[in-house]
Amino acid sequence: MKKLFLAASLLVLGAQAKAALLINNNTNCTINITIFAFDPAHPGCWGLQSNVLTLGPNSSESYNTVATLNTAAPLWGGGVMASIAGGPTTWGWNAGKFFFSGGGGGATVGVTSCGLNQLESVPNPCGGTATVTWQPFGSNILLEAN
Amino acid sequence: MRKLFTAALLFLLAPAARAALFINNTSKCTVQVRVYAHSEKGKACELESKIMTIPSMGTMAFNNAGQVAENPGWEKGMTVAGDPKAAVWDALGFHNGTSTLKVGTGCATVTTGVVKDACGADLNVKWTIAGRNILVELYN
Repeated sequence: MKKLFLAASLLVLGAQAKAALLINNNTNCTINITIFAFDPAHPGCWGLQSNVLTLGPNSSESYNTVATLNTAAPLWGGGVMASIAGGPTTWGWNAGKFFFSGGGGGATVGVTSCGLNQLESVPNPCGGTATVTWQPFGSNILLEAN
Repeated sequence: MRKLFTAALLFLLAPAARAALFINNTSKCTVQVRVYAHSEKGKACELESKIMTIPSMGTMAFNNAGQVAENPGWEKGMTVAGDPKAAVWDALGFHNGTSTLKVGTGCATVTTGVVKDACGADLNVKWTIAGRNILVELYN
């Protein structure tokens, strides 16, 4: 019950926040990540596709908006520029595709409207199984590998 | 039902996750902040970072407190004792040149506040928890 309340509180608190994508690699392996998003000129589940972000063991990355990736590594693929000029309802984050360096597994997690799960378990080349999650909180997204 | 199950799973997983700190500046002004943390067996806010300057629409991510040592570094040669991944984030201090607003837990008494930014506008500083991660948002 307390957790449900906490979840509800987070949703309420998040209302004014703008949508950031927060990424955690809490595993001891390097992960390669492709980010998918949309804006008015690049609609749909796969409208904007990033170049590959290589995230080392136990490291994190964050992007304030889809426009952040216009200038921040790894950039959008093909030199595409995203726009947030239409306001926060005109753009958003759709999915993260993970695959581990050095073998191991891969998975894509993301919004359910794109037919994706918010939790996937994949073999981890460092041993065991990694759990990859896509967690909306407020209007932000937390993408984690544990 | 499946969504509820997934949500429940995510919450069950969350306590096992290690704690990252994300700072998002979606305000129109550059901000200057410090973070406060403590080692696994230490006291609240015993670790004070050097000042970080984050431009408008800039963002910073720390997977664990050990990464503060690389950038921006701790004040007065402080270091995390023990496993850096077991260290705990306590607070974030925003400085506008004349006053400080500290949000968080431990040495902070509030999790949200409003203060004038260096551009003269009202700045909201909000500390929220996502699983065991912390997100601090600064916005006008």
